[in-house]
Amino acid sequence: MMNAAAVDIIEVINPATGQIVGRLPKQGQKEAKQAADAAHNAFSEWSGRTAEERSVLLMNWHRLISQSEKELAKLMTKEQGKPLKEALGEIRYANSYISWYAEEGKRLYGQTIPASDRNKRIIVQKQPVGVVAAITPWNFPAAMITRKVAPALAAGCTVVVKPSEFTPLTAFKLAELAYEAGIPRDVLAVVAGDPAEIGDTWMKDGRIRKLSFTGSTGIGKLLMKKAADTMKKLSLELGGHAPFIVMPDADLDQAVEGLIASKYRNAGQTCICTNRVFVHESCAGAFTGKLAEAVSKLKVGNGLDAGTDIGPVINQAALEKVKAHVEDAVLKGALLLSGGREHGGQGTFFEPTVIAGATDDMLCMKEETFGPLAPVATFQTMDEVIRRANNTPYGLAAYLYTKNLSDAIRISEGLEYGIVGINDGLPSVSQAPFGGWKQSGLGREGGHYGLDEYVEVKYISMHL
Amino acid sequence: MIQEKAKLQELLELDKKHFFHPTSAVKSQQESGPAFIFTEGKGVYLHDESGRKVIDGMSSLWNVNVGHGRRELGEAALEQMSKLAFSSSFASFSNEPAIRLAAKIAELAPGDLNAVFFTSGGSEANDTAYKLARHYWLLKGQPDRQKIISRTKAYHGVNIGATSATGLKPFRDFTNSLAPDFHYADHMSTEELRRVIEEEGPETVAAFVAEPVQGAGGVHIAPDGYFKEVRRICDEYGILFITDEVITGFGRTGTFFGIEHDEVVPDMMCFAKGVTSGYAPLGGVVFSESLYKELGDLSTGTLLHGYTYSGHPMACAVALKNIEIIEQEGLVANAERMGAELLKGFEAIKAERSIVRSVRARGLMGAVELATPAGSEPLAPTVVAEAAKHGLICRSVTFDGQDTLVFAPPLIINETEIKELIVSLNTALQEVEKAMGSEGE
Repeated sequence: MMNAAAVDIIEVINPATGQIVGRLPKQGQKEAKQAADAAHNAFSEWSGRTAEERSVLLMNWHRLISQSEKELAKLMTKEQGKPLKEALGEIRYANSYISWYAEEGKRLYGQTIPASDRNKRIIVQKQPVGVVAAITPWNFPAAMITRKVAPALAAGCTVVVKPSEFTPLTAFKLAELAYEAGIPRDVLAVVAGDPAEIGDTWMKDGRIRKLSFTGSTGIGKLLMKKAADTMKKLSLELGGHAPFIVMPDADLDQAVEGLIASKYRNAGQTCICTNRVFVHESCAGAFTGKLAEAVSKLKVGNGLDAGTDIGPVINQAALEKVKAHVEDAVLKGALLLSGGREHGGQGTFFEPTVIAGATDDMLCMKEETFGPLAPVATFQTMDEVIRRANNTPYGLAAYLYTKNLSDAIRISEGLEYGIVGINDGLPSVSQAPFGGWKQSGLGREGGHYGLDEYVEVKYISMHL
Repeated sequence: MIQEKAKLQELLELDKKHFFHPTSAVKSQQESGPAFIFTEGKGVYLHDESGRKVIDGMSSLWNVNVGHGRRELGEAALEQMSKLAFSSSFASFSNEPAIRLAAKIAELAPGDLNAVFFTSGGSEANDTAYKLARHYWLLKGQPDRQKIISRTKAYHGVNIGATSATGLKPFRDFTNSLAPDFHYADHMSTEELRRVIEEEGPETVAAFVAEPVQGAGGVHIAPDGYFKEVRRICDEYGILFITDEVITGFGRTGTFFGIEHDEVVPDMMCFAKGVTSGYAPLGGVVFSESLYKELGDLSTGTLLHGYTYSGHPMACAVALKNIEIIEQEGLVANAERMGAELLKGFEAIKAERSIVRSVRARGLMGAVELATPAGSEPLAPTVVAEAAKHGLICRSVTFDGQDTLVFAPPLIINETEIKELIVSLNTALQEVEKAMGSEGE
């Protein structure tokens, strides 16, 4: 949150209280260029180190983060709002990328390919792509950074990071720990401030060979256009509009638990959050009743308070969007079962909300809400629900609850989504390829797929 | 699976051929068979032969107050039947369960309602009340007091007397000869009651009978002060005041008996249904202390009224256990709390569904009135059919031009199940609205 009067300062606001929790110098073009220069100059030395040497530093970083996890979590809750238990969970999740890629960097294997000529040999190598720019969002102030930085560093790239100006404190703290771990300052830089200035500086810089971005589809498209001029390699993790399908044979208690995990985590502000719930008409009453009752018991409050399940949304604009989606749904005939209102107080809180009788013409069924609203619609047939689930430009995560193996396979294969949780509301882990189809983005993060995003492939053809 | 299908088919055929159903559409039952063949119940839910699970939004017939599948009631029945399944209560024979139940009901009933006459159900309870009212006036030497006044939209049962007292005309028109001397006053107006009494001659009126909240007639709640004024009018003209608590008794409206909301005490009170939560057939009439005494003082020979199953030991043992459950689980207070939740849900639906005109509830008796489109058939039966598809059983009331859905879920219902009921009802209403919309296009 920027203060217009003090142009050179970023004020970081706690969304739970409206209080300023940090003041930082507002960086721009100058700092962005300095960071890029440094990263460019450091590249040959860093990429020249062995994977083992880089792994040792990454593991040091992992250990230091682990030692400071409580402090980091608290800092994150203050600037981002999520409940402390979720913040701690995120720090551990973020850290799992560092340890995983510290190991995986050692296995950046190439290939030999049988040649067409008996006197030739073909060798395939993977080499770091070069300087990487990482632009990350506010919803996961730590994990979205390590998910990009860890594989990039492990592969031998140097990285410049622009965290969200809403949540820069966690990013700077992570960078400090990286330096303490022995990762050179020129190899990893964090620049926060004017997003357009910093972004444009890097997008125009031909030395930056790779952009990894997590954020909205709109900004993703804009960056993709800008990246075209220097033909940067791209990873884009963009918006989602996750469907959550409950088949008639599903374990409804398990489905309710899964939905709460996928929908209300981070106050509904994750790109894999459920946005549309489709329940078979035969069990819609039972499922929605259980859901509404469970949701009405979730405790809304400051993330630092013990027992808080739902923190504030990030800012007033986010609050207005959820409000607008609820109002639109109710206007179009949805039945409000729990929540539905601002929670009041200083912060930007919105009550966790369940609506029944949602129809596909409602905004919440067409756009990503990015807030704690679960609209429940009914369906009759499998083909119908697959069609409706796919009827969106997005294709990030989808969820399916059933005990029928054939249905599980048929539906998951029919879904045009990068991630499908079958009876699982929390599918994200460091070893699996996270990413979307269609307008949800390009590339994958996590697993060996995530390392490939930071390398170029070179084949060497040798005549003996 | 194949065996199950064959069994289902067999049951359907046998039902069509041999089971003459009560209060059902005879033609469609004979042609298409039963709508559900229930196999078991648990809590607020019923399961059927085809594997469906539905929420019993009517407590079946407003009676399964403690919910389905209560093993302890089965055990109480087993214990009593093993010891003494049946003995007569005629000729002053007695048995412990009947004695204890009569005392328990006397303790629970309002005011000085202290003596219990047992029947097998609500219709018999009503007939008993009317007959004993008339008998009382004979003994009192006022043989002209023979008329019974009831209310429009009243439902009191289907025995000849109870049918005659029923204010819903289709029930009376069902047969071509009824008991004489029944009259009807507008169900919401004490002025109308006074007018009917005056018109008929107060000295010819034996009793006035009323449901504290009208049930089968569409869940109608009388205006505030109505029953206080009724009591005054009855006292003024010396008319006996009978309440029919067959539906409203045993916690249904959030008080033990429905009339407690109005803080008046009748001279006789009919009960049935919730007294056993339907686990055994039982009903009865509770008489005021003074009326009971007077009948004793005035009577000389044998009271020539009684049913074989009056004071049935097993039914009474089940009732005692059932009342114990209601008390121990705090179901009367739960009915009040959940009734408020139910009404909140109805109001939320009313705000969203254009076909809903008004909603009301007292405790766990609720109604949703629909706005029938001009010149169209009532919508409620279609909504009921649609709700069944979405796992909810409720009832439609279309008498006297009404288009109403009524609800009376078991008193054990919790918040989650109320929400389930509301969601299923909303979905059903939404489907009907959608169908109407597409017809219009």
